Amino acid sequence: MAVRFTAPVNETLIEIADRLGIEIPRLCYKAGMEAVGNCRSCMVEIKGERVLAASCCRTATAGMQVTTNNERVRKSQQLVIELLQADMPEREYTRHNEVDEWAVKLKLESRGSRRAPPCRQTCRMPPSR
Amino acid sequence: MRRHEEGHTFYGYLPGGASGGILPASLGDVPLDFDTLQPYGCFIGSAAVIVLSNQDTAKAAARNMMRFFEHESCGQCTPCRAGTAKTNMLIAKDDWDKPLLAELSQVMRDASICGLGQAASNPVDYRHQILFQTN
Repeated sequence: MAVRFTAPVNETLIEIADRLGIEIPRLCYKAGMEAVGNCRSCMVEIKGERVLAASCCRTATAGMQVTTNNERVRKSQQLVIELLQADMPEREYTRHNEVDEWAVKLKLESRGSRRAPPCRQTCRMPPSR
Repeated sequence: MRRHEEGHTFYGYLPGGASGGILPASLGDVPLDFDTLQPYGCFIGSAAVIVLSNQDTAKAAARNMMRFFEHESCGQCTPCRAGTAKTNMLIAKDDWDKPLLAELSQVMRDASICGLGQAASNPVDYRHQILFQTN
């Protein structure tokens, strides 16, 4: 679904998406704090650019075309969450675990699940040493 | 590439440093220039040519390069920091999980902050590994 948008010069793509009700995953981004663009879970595709862009760090330019949910973007978002999940400890320390919540929203298979030992035996993503 | 060390035969080479890809000896006469290597999925990069003999393997070269990238990764972004580490663990095995390696390669290429993460998966790229008949 294509949405035309206008935005002030200093609004980032993730802020625009939030305003338009378009959901983009995010972990290191928090409104009101300086965006650092490290987690790489908020990636979007900008037409004409070779690599994906971190939507928390990019402001809109005239004529820019942004895709938030094609195969390439979704795959990237899923892999980032999966990589992080594979390194997480067995027990949760927080009731609201953002990584797991995004994994559910992005429909990640339990390939990298760290939940139960039997899953771990079959999962393909090795946990860190 | 005509001079031989005693007991070695030409097996393959890296045309452009650690991230430029790996080519077999059968493609040893491809001119080393900016646009000549692209059709083979390689690039000239730093033009640091590394020659491999029959006592090396493409897999061993890939493992060596990937250890280098994991070590050099600054650690800022998930695809490179975690991707190089996971790739190293996967390619340490004899049997490579090619679909998973391809997925890791894609996210590193598409979502890393800098060129190190973007190019790190080149040595294990199936397009290069598949050119080597054995190992």
